[in-house]
Amino acid sequence: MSLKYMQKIVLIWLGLIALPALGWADTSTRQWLDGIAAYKTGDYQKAVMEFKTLAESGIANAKLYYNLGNAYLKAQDLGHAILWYERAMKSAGNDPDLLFNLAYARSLTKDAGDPKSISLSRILFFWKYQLSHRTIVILALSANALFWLLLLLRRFILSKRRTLGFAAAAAALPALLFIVTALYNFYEAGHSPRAVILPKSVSVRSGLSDHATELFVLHAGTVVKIEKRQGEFMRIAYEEDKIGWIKQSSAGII
Amino acid sequence: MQKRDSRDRDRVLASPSEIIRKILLLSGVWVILIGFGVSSPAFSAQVQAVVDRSSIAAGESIELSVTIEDGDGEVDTSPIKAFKVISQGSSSNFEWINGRSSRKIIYSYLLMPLNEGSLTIPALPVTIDGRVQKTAPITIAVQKTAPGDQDARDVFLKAEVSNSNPYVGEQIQCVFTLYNAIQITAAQFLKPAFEGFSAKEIENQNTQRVVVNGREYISRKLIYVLIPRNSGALTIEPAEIQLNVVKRDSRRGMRSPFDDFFGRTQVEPRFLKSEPVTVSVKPLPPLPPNQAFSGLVGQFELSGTIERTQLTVGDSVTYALTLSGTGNIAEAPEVRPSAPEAFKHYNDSPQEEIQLSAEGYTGKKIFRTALVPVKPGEFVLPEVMLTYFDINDKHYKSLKTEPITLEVKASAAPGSQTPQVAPGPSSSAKHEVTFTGRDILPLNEDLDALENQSALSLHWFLFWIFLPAAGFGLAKLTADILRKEDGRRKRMARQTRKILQDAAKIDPREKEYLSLLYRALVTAIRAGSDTSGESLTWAEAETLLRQSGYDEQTAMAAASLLENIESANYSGGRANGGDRRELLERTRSMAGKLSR
Repeated sequence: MSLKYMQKIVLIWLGLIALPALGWADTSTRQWLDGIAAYKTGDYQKAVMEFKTLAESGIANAKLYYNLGNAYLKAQDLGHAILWYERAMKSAGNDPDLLFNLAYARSLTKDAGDPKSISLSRILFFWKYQLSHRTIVILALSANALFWLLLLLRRFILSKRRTLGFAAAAAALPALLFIVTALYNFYEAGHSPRAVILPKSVSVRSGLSDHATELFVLHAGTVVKIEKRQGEFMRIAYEEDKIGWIKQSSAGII
Repeated sequence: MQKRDSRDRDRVLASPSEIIRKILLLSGVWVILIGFGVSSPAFSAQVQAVVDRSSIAAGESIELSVTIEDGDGEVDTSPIKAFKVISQGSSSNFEWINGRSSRKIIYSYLLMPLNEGSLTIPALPVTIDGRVQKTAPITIAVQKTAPGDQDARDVFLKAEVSNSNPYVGEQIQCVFTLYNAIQITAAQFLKPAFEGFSAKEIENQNTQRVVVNGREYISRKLIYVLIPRNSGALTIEPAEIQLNVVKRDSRRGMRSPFDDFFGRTQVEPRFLKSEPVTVSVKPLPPLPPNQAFSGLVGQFELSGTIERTQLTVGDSVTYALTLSGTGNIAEAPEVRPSAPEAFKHYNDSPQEEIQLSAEGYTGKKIFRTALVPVKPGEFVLPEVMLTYFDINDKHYKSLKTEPITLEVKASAAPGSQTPQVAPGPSSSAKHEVTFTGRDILPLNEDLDALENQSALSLHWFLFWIFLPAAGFGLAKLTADILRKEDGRRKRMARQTRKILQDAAKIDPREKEYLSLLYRALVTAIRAGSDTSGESLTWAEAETLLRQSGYDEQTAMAAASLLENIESANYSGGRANGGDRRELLERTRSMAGKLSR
């Protein structure tokens, strides 16, 4: 078998392997552009459909989530709009456009936020609330790598440089801080996830039934904490003293 | 005969302790029998469900009793869907009739119908010792209460609207009135969803005594102000109230004055629903041409006031437009004047003073605009117009302010006609920047939005956190092992030097001298070949050194030297002192070569 013949076979195989990926890229790009075009012409429902299809295909990207939030907001679906903005915030918490639009969407919600939420913990652990989870993870990994690198240099290469020791100690503090914060974020996401109320209004009831006493009413876009899930219901907490049960379909998990 | 007499006497004259023992024995037997009688027939347990009434009016409740005879079990009421179920607890009853014991456990429930018509209490599963038995299903007729009958009842709930045919945007009142002729407690009100309306409850509840069909009731009113958002037939779903009716204790013949004091009253839970109310919402009539509708429905007034009409260039003057009236004023759009081109204008945030009462929303909104003339002259502030739908006259009306003439003089500062608004924080023309329009920022159009940026999972995060630490640990371990190896070689080299020094101190003719040289050379070869041991043959020495990377010449020289020392040692000391010193020098030289 000649070398040229072998090369041809290899090229054909590579082409066959890459073809589905290229096709997928074409489809998703077309959906992306169709979504943008539909949004610009005011067909917000179509824009929602296109962006949502992309998100459901497994693309996790803050920019896509931001667009989906915009499309939902224009389609007068405040609950889903805030849900997707909040999801985008997890990885792009400092994006100014996202912050602006989320603030606008929040201004349309009906439930007054708890002023007590500006708590001491928010002041003391400001970086947790100022930085996105993704940013905190990146900072934790970077500071940790820097700390060990400096320690390695100090130990094996430049052992007589005292400054390296100080630098390693200085890197240890932010590394520890961001690692602990990232771990807490992981814990919080796993044990006390947040959700956004999706329908225009939801009765929060005292039990797992549609006939249980209505305790209070929440409206679209309000963010709640999920405390427990049971059957088709979940127990949610809003502010410090308001807890009750709603159907799982009434809220979207961030 | 004598023996028999003796037995009889013993029987008659039984001691007191023996009598007590017999009594205890008999008692024990009875207790066991009773216990057996109570606990044994679990397999023959029977269940039965009964209700106190089979026909009730909507809003009334029935009492369901599930009786378990000769057994203990758990009743599952979850199959009951047509009623709201409230557990009233359980009681037990033990009977002993004609030598046969029987025990009953009665579970009581209060059922409140959720609908009208023929409702069924399905067969309820009762689990007794792992076995499931079912009660018989029961059908209950729930009759709709006729409006006439309603007034004859002890307690009922009514829903009314102030206007069942309003326009879109017209505010109406929805009043829920609870009438009770008897004492009630623990009332819990569940308002309807008010689909299609924006609803707000008026805080103060109105309680008064009223007479309905000659019977005195206490009425409590809950008033909601509703504004229909769409036209068409909108239904206000029934409101619900759950409450307890206080009843005289039926177990007592006469009610004593102390009953209330000691809480000797019975309460019966009730579940009341109001009738659904349908509101036919009319659309607003077509808007006359060339008019812009503000969306306001009600009765309103608009006025415009300005602080002064004679101004100087650069001065600031506030023009206030006040919109007041009754109706959906909270939804009023911003009303602003069209300032002449010679004026700069700055809008303040609107000031709202809106109250909610039984008549609906009433109040005013004030829109203030700061005007700063930049040119001298006479200018007219044009009229401001606003169109609303007058609910009394049933047509659109336009409100207009009067045009205002402003006289602007040139500034006193020579040669300056520009407004003095920029410098200084105390300038009256400096205003907080406020949003004049509201919208979101545009879409993101970059194609990198299609890149997957899945968040790092906890496992991968921990992996990447521990990876540098593991790398560091590995590096340290390797270094320690290398240092250890290096240290062993150095230690052996030191040992070689020490042995050679010892050899140099003694007389070469002594027998120990050659032994020391042998040990020193073997130690040096072992250190050079990174092996351990205290003896070597010259052949082994050569092989080891070659394998350790020494050149052939060195390996052979070391092996030869070892052979020479061994030969001198085993030749019985024939070598003289000079030869032995030479061996010392050669050994020292070889040790130095091997340690490099």
